[in-house]
Amino acid sequence: MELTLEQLGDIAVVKLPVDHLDASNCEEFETPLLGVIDQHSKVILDLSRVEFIDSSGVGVLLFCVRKSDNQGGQISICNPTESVAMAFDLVRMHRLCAVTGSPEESAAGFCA
Amino acid sequence: MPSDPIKKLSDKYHLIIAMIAGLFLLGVLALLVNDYYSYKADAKMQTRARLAERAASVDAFLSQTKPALLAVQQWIEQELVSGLKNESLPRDHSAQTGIESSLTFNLKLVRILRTYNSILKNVKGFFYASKNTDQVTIFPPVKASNVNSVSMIKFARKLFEEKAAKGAVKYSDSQRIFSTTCLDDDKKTVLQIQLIGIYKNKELIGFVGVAVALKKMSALTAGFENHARSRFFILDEKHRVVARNFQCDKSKMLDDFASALGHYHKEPAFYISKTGEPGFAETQDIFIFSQPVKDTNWELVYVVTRQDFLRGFFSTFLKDMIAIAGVLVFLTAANYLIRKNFVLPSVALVKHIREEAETGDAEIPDVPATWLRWFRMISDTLPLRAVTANLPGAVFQVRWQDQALEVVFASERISDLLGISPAELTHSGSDLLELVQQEYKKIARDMFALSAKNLTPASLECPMWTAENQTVWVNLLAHPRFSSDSNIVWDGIMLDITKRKRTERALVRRDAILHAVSDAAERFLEISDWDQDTQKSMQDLGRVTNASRILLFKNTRAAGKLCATATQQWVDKSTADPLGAEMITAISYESGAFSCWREPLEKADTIVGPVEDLPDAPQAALRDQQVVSIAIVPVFAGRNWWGFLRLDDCRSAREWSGAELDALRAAVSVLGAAIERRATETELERARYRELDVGSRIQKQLLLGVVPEDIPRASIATLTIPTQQIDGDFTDFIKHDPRHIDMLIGDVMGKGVPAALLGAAIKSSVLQAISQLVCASNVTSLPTIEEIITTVHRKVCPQMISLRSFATMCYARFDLEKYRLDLIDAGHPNTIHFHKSCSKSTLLNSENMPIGFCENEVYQQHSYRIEPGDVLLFYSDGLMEAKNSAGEIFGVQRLSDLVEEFSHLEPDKILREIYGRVAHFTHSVSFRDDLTCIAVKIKSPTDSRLVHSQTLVMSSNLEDLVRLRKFIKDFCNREADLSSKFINQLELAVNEAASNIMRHAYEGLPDKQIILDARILEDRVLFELTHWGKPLSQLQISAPAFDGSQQHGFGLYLIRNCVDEVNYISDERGKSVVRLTKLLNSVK
Repeated sequence: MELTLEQLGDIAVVKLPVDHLDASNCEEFETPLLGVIDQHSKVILDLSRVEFIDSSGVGVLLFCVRKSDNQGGQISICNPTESVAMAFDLVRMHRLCAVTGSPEESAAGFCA
Repeated sequence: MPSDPIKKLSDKYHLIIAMIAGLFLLGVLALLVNDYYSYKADAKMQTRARLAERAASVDAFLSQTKPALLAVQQWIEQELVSGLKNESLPRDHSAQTGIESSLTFNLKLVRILRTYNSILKNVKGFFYASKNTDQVTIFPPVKASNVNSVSMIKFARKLFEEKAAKGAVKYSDSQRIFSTTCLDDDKKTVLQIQLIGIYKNKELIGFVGVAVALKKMSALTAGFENHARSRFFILDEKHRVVARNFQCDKSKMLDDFASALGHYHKEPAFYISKTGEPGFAETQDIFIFSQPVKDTNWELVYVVTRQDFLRGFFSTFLKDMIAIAGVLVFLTAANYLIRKNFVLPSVALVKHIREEAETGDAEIPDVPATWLRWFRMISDTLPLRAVTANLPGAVFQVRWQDQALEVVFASERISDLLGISPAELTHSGSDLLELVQQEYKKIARDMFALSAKNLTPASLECPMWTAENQTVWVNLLAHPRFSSDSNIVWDGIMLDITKRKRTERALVRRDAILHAVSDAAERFLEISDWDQDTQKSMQDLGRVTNASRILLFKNTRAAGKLCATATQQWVDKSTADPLGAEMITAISYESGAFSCWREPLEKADTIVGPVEDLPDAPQAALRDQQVVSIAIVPVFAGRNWWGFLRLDDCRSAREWSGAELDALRAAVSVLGAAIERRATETELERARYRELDVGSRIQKQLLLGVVPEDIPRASIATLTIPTQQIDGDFTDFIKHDPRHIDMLIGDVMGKGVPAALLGAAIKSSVLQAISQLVCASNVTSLPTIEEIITTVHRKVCPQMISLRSFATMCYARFDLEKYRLDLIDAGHPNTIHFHKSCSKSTLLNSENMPIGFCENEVYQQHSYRIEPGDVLLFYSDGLMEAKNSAGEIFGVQRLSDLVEEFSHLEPDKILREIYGRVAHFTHSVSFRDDLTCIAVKIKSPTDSRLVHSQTLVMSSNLEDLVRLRKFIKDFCNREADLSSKFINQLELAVNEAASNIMRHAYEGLPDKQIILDARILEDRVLFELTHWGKPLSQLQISAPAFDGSQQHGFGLYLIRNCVDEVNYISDERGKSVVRLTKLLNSVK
């Protein structure tokens, strides 16, 4: 799966190009996402298009966050839809990474 | 010199006589010339036919020894290839190289050949020769060979090497056998030598051969001993003279002569030659006949002088005088013509014909061949006719003519068999196949075609039509051969096997019917659905009897008249129902066409056979129904004539055999027994219910509680079968609210009024206890059943002890809010709990003593989870201890099995089934003890309030999750009240559950099935995912780590946090269900 990156200063903004992130497709994202994290210390994941996320999808995101943490990078997630936000609530995503309403808000949240 | 008048006169007479003779001769001559040309015309054809026949006969002979030769070939090749033996095999029995190995070798050979024992008696020896040495190895066969074969082998070898040099011997055709005929060295035995190549690494390295003794030379020459002036010689396939009984100086000339003859004439034939042919010193007329030597490529040529011939020489060869008469007519005339210097076929002519045949462009005059045919017919068939008249079957000769089997000859017996005289058959040139019945025609044709192709005997059992259109079964056996006109002719025999065939078919059908009968009997024993069972049995019966239609008639009375009404009908689908939709509904026994049936049927007689044999009245009626043959068997239920079963055959006027009828009667008796049993059971059941009614009314009033109504989450039914005297069984129901019901069942020891009174007392004290406890308590909740029973016990125990009585009791509380059952079992028979989830029953055990047994007893309640579909059965010991005539008790196990079996029914139906089984078990309508029984079936909370439901069938492919989610969304959106959060949670939970099933239950296999049952009920939403994979369970209880250290295992956590209840249910048949319940007022 090819991910399109947008540069917002030194921040890479990745807009996930699918409407769901579940057991059937989350594995496709894992490698490219980890690639982005390797190359960029500041990453924003824009989930505005993702209407649904399941435990597998959450698992991939959590793994990315942890990897970024270990490398000293930062990840912020923005624009979760209602359903995705609900799933994030259940797994307490906000404890691990910032979940915001827009890329700008995310960018503002990053430490310099 | 005066003329002699007398001489003149005599001259005149001479002249007249000469003229008459001349006219006669002219006629004869015309005939002869005619015949000569026709013979010439036939000659070419005959030659080819003869050669083909010869080849076939030699092939047939070869085929006997071929397997043995191939086995030896294979064995020798293996020995060579395996390297055990070199190219030189052990030499013959006088072996120089190791007697032992020679012995072993021979032993092995014997072992191989043992399989081909039948040919060994004529085998003179096997021999092996390698290609590049002169060495020849002879293996003695089973019995010591007395063949002295060195020259013979050399001969064979020469032949083989010639073939090999020409490239005719090839590995690709390694199974080809070369054969030749030769004389043994001692000139006494004719040998057939067969050779086959031996290959090593696909290279020809030698050959192995077998020499088979055909016949003694003396047998060939028999008949010549006494005819010193007659000569014979035998020609091989190259027309070389291999034997002769005369000296000849000019052998070259003889060879030419023989070659000319031998090449051309391969059948017994004769030629008349002028004098001066080789080998005959004196000038005289000779006749030359030639004949193939059977099983060989040789030709035996007789050269016979006229004198010998006229002495009746031929009687030794052609055994039939009539045939000879035909020959004689010809020969005498021919002889006469020879004297008159007419030149008849001679060597020169033979050569001429041969050349014509070879170039193939000679014009052959189209001359009728009547005489020759006539001659052939006489010689071919007359002797046959005499012999065959005394054979058991009909002998026939047929030939292939325009795709038909034209009957050439048929013996007298054919008229016994087919009712057609031999003359009729042969003169009209009838096709034998036309007489074969339709369904066998193709088989017969194919059989003869195959026989013609392979020259193998045709053998067939088939039904044929007689002149009177009757069926006769025959066994046809016919051997094909080439006739003299190169057509294929079969000589065959036809045996009447009608009787055997009929018996055979009848037996097969009887077995089939009996099989159907036993199936039917089994089916009727069960009697689940009478109509369906009868229909199925009739269908089976129809199939095996090949009937067109089966009708079951029941005797009824209409307006006081006895008639029969068709209750069931089965029609063979393959034949259009001649009656169409119009079913034969009823017949009258009193009047009309079928009135004559009453008497025989009443007497239990059957009415069977082709319709045409029936009396006129029913015959006409049945013809209208297009019935050709019928079988009517009366049905008796017990002793009563119930009706009849009618089998129609609309296709053939078949006769029903005794065996078939026996089987049909058996079928009908099973039917009768089933009818009787059904009637008896219905009656018995009615009687039981009547009697029970009176006793039960008394008990109902005093001791039996009334089942409360309006309990939406359970349905309850009771059954009580009181004994004649009043018993102490009691029941009661207390409905606290629609979701909390107490139930009481008990049995006071003893019978009669005291027991009844005690029962009544306990019931009232229970009610008292409840109200007392409710009043005493400050909280609104119900008193526990422990408290109730303890209170009751405390109250009644002293009295019961003093009365020396006690009561077993079971007190149950159904909490249909929490789906929980609280139970105290005080010495009562264990309650049966059927679990819908696993389709199994358990017994709810308890160790409490009966009420009034022991003052210090502490009663403890047990709680059980109950689920929709569960069934609970409470009962008194009277039910469990019901005994059959053998003294065996009904027992808990049977009861528990019954609950399982009928758990799908409503409680009242369950009880009815149980009662039926118990009554059947005891064979009695009255029981020693009261039977009291309560069945409770737990209902789903909203069974009655289903708002909306929908089902999705999906695959276990992860891609299908998208479809699943869309389904959930669509489904939930129908219910406008549901919040988007609620829907999102459901979506997530069901998605997780489905994804778990796909990945774990089905282990990633994408083509399995998952069924999602979605229901919105009055207070909850229910999603049931059914799958047939590995059962899943709720393994993980604790929440997973959410720090990113864990990538998997959130699924179950998410599910539990999205819905209110998760259930995993699986049954023994591999079906599993994951049920997700989310309450509409869920706080999650």
